[in-house]
Amino acid sequence: MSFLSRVLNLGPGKSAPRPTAAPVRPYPTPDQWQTHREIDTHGVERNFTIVPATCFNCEAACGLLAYVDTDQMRIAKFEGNPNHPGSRGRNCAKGPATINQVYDPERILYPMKRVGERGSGRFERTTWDEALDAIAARIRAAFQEGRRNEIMYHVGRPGADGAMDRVLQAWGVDGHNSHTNVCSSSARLGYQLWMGSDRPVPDYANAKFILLLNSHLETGHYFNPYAQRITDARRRGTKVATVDTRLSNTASMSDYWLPTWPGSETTLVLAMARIIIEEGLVNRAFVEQWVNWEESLAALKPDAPRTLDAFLDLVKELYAEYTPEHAERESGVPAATIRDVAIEIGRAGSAFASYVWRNAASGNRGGWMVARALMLLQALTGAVGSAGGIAPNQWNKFVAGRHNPPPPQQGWNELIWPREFPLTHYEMSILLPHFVREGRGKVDTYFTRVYNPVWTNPDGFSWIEMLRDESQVGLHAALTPTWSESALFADYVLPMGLGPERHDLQSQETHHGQWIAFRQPVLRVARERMGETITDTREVNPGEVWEEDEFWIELSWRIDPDGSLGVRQYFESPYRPGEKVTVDEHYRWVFEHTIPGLPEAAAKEGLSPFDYMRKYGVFEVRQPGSPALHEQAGADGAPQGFRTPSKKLEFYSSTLRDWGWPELAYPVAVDSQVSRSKFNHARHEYALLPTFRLPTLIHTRSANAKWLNELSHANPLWMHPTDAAREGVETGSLARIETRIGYFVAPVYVTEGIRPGVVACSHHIGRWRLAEGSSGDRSFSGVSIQRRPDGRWMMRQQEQPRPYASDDPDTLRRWWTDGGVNQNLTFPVQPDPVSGMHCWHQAVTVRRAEPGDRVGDVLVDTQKAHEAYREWMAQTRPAPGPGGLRRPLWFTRPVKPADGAYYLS
Amino acid sequence: MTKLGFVIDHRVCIGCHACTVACKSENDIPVGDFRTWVKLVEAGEFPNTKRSFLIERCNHCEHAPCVGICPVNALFKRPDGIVDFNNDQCIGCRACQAACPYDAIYMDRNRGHTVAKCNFCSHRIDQGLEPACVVVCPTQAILFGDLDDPASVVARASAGGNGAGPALRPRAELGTRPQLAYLGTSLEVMSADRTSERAAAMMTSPWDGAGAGAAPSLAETRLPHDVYNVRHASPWHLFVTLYMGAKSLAAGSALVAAAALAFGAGTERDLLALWGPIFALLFAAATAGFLVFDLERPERFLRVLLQPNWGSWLARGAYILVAFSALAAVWLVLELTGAEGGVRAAAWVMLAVGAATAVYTAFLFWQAPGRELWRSRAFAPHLLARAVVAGAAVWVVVGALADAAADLQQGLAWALVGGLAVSLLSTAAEFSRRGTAHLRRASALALRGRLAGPFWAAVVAGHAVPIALALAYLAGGGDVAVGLLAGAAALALAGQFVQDEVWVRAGQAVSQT
Repeated sequence: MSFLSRVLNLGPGKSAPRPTAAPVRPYPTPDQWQTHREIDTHGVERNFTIVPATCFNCEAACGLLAYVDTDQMRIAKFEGNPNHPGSRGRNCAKGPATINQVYDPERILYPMKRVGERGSGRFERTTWDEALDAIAARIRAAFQEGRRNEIMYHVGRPGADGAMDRVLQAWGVDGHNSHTNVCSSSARLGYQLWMGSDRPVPDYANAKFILLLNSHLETGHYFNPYAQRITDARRRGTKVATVDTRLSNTASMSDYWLPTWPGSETTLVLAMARIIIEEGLVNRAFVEQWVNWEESLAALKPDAPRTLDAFLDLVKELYAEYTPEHAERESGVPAATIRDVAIEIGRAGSAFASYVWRNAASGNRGGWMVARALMLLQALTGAVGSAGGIAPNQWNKFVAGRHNPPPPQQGWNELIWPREFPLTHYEMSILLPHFVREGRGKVDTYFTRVYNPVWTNPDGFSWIEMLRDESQVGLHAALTPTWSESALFADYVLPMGLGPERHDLQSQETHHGQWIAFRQPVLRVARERMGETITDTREVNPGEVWEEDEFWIELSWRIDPDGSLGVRQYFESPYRPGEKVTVDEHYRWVFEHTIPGLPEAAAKEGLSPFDYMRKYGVFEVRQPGSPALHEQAGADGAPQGFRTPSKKLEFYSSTLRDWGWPELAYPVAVDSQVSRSKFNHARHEYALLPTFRLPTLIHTRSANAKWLNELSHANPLWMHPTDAAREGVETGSLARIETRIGYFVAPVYVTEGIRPGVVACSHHIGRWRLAEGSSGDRSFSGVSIQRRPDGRWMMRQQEQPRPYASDDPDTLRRWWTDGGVNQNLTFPVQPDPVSGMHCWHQAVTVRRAEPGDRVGDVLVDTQKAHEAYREWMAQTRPAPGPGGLRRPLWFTRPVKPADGAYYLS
Repeated sequence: MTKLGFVIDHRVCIGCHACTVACKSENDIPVGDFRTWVKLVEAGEFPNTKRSFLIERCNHCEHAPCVGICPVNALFKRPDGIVDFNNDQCIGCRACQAACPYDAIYMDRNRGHTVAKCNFCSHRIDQGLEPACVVVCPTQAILFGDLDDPASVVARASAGGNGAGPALRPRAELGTRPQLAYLGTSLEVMSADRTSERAAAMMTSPWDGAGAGAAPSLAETRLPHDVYNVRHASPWHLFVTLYMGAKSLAAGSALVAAAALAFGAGTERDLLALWGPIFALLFAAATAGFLVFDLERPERFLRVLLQPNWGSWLARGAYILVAFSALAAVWLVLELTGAEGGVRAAAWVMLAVGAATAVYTAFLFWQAPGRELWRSRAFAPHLLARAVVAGAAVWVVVGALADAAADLQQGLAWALVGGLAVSLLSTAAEFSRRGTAHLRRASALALRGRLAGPFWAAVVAGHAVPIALALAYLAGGGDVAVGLLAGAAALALAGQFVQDEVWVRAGQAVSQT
């Protein structure tokens, strides 16, 4: 550069805009995706190929478009996929932030093997071959020795519908474990008991009134698609009521905020049901046809005439004490507000949509009754299977079949499905360390897949104790794209691709309609478009990052190289008999055979079904609309109804009665572990809500996105000013929050956005790595973990997150030093005796921190944690149920075994 | 004509920050900087509490202060109404940041430390693509289009209707005519000076941006206060103060000498005529040095002279400084060649040029409409008085060293007293103005806030004490040591420096968003 041009700017002026070629539009059209030229923000003209992808940050599976720079073969950015029926081209903050995760300088690029003892946190690079052979040898030995159920696959975010069911059933193991009982199994049970589907799909867009026991305008299943549709409804004048103890963004935008005392929500909702009946707002025709009122009368009031009026009278009697005034005493929400909302619901009639997923359901003992109570509202208004109402999830989700399905497994794994919890809706995953400690069994080979129990689950130090003990867990392989606390306690850390680096299929019930999305490794597609042949996703991913589909195929072949164990056959090509299936073949078969309408749509464009899905990334199986599938004729010509034993919506559940819970057989309030009367604030006692989320983060998967981390990186303790005054703290003061098994230290955030007497601390934040010398993400706090002579565990932050040098200049620009606190470590397991859900809310004391306390301090006594476990176990009513069953046969179950396995004898 | 603008509908914005992140992704924005962000404000008493969101960004003002103040036209208004920027042209003076009433501009470390801000994704607009924030928004809360087309969605939305109430424009009273309007929010949320100065951090480290002090007290928690905002460091700092000080010395030393020569310098004519232009040149060089050194891109400084924006008081000031230096050089040559008449003529001209040199900075500060403290009519005379004080102080010290005649020192003492008195009155005028909360907060920072220590030190030790010392010197006739006057001069100079620093900092300390 000459002196003159350095001093003066002699380049072309930027002041004249180019003439706008076309009317502005959001996206290039699909015909332009193959090759697309675009001038970037720096004024550089670049060549892209645009590849559809599926977001993998939350569970909504929104559509993305990856802009792959074909000169650099590098992903430049992610935008929304306009063809995606769920997300409709729009995304939340986590969608475009995917690019941070792809280029996170701290990500794991190679398979790693531990050095030193397990839990030292030190790893060295190994090869995929070594890892695969070591793991395959163990599993093969277990199979040969008849220890199939010592193999366990524990998943946080599945991301793929049905893929792992197939692998595990091909192996013949009952080894599927999940995160669901720290998540949603409570609400699922409530819905399952009513309608044989464990999830409602609200038709928010067409609802006339919406009652949220969630924060769907900012988080949750399925935040972005649902927020769009709630907003569509609000634009039309639909009102929204939100039940939440703390002021969520959603509550703040709602017409009604009902800040309940935690645990009172069932009472609140049943009071609304009572008002709807009293006000004559019941949809009698619907109730008459679709609610099991006759069965209810027979069970609860056998002498009454079998008429609908008698049933409604019965309901009135059952809820006689659930007056709005009673609900106000329990919840703190004014009776007048309860009445107003109830009348709005009644008037909305069949266009009333409500939803609970975590919130109160996951916080409280008996939380599943919140879903039961909400379903009563839906049933009374006739808002099930209706436009603007809710529908069973299966009606709106499309799970594709796969070739050569293996038969269900014969075994039953009692470490996952213990007999104490016959009605648990999902695996009792939180109890695994306690079961192992009690000698109920061991795990030979333990896969965690984007599952981080050490950090996420309650009582993480019990997990650490189990994971460090090689006699309890023989081998732990962590399948994860990013460092996690649990991966530090693994033998192998195996890097798996992020959303845009893997194949799988996802369909989510985002509205009344059906779609299926094809997640794909975008660089693989881009390079294939450039004429290359790619046979292994590791060829295109950063480092040696792999994808699960190919990993399981390869591992299965190594477990059973000659096919003698009967495993290999399920991983052979449907097109080349006896040969190893490729992922392309696997999905080609799915797209050719299982998705109605896809082959025809592809043919119309002159594409094969597989190429169609590669091009668009998503297929709309059924357009939006609310089919009343329960009214359609089944095989016998009669309406097929719902998937319950009575084929009706079950107000009265004979299943609950038959399995030992007759007093809970109809919707009724259950005393929560944190109900209002249990607290004496003069003794510093408060209820802690530890579960709420922020719109910018997603569990433990988003901490590696710098832009998201920049937006939110602290989880102070929310406290009402009156409580803060009582405890002598203000915003920024340190507080010590003591649970039954230990304490944590966090700064205080004083806000009018929470009910007095309740404190709250956001989930997501408080990530850590071991200080000095260990692997892990430098954007987390570095901690020391010490076991004291008395057996108690002490964690202390030795290093705050701080700027560090890397390939990305932004890591030196980090301006924040907060890393938050890992509060979940201090919670005992609190399994609901019916649903098995961990009841998250905690009874705590809050005091000013003591001298010497530091932010992030955690102290835990795992002996006390085990005592708490035993007390909660004592509340259970174990199997067998009728007929010697472990579990009702009609209940769904992930990776459902053969019927024979259901019998205890 | 096309006039592109945004209308942001806060009836449907859900505060999800997708726009923030999509913008960062599209525009390669460093960590720490934002072209758009979502402020969160909490207000109300439980259970009537509300958390409001406000999408902040460049307002693409019709009368854009950033465009007006940019000395080199690195910021410009496109024919379609977009306020855009040119990184290849920017010299990094940060005047645009000082001038922007919306804290919307930053110096981009991914663009060679040059100007950046929301430019409507002009590169996308030019290719027929919507801005990234518009595309990503889950609830379609960000509308954009041609405000001049009455049928456009933004024209209809900004006219109100649909029960949204009138569209509100941020800080409309400043006359910047924003091309961004909000629906469904309130002035309480929009105006930083209606929310509490105290802020609490709901999900971040406490930020120490302008105006955000400690968190609200327990009793204040129900008042509107930020719970999330973006930090904005003050664009101008110590080097601007040093520049002001050096310029005051340059202008003042020339003005005092010129006045003496013009009106009859008595016995010390030679001292003043020779050293007057020398001091002027030395201090002018220091002034230019501080200016250039403070640039993010000092190697581009000549563009201010060679490619100037004639509307910018930075460019105009640079020319005034050039004229001042040239005049001083001519004066020096005339003196060295013994052209006494010429020197006298130069001195007369210097009275005007020196005064302009002293005063023009007031007009530069005036070009920052959002920094209301800086918009004081007293500031121009104040700068002139300060230059007189600075000049007198320089000559008092020089005179003492050169053992100059008493009549010079007495004249200087009167100049000192007079200049300080005017300065004191100007200070009172500047800090006692009535106005918006923004002005009151900035004034209060100096009068009783965290800048009160230096402010009152400058008033007392920098004004009152030197006035008293100078008067004592004058009252003593020839009996009092000139050291007393030199002490007054030194205190006055120190006070001036401290007061400039208070001025620069207080003017920027109040949050604008």
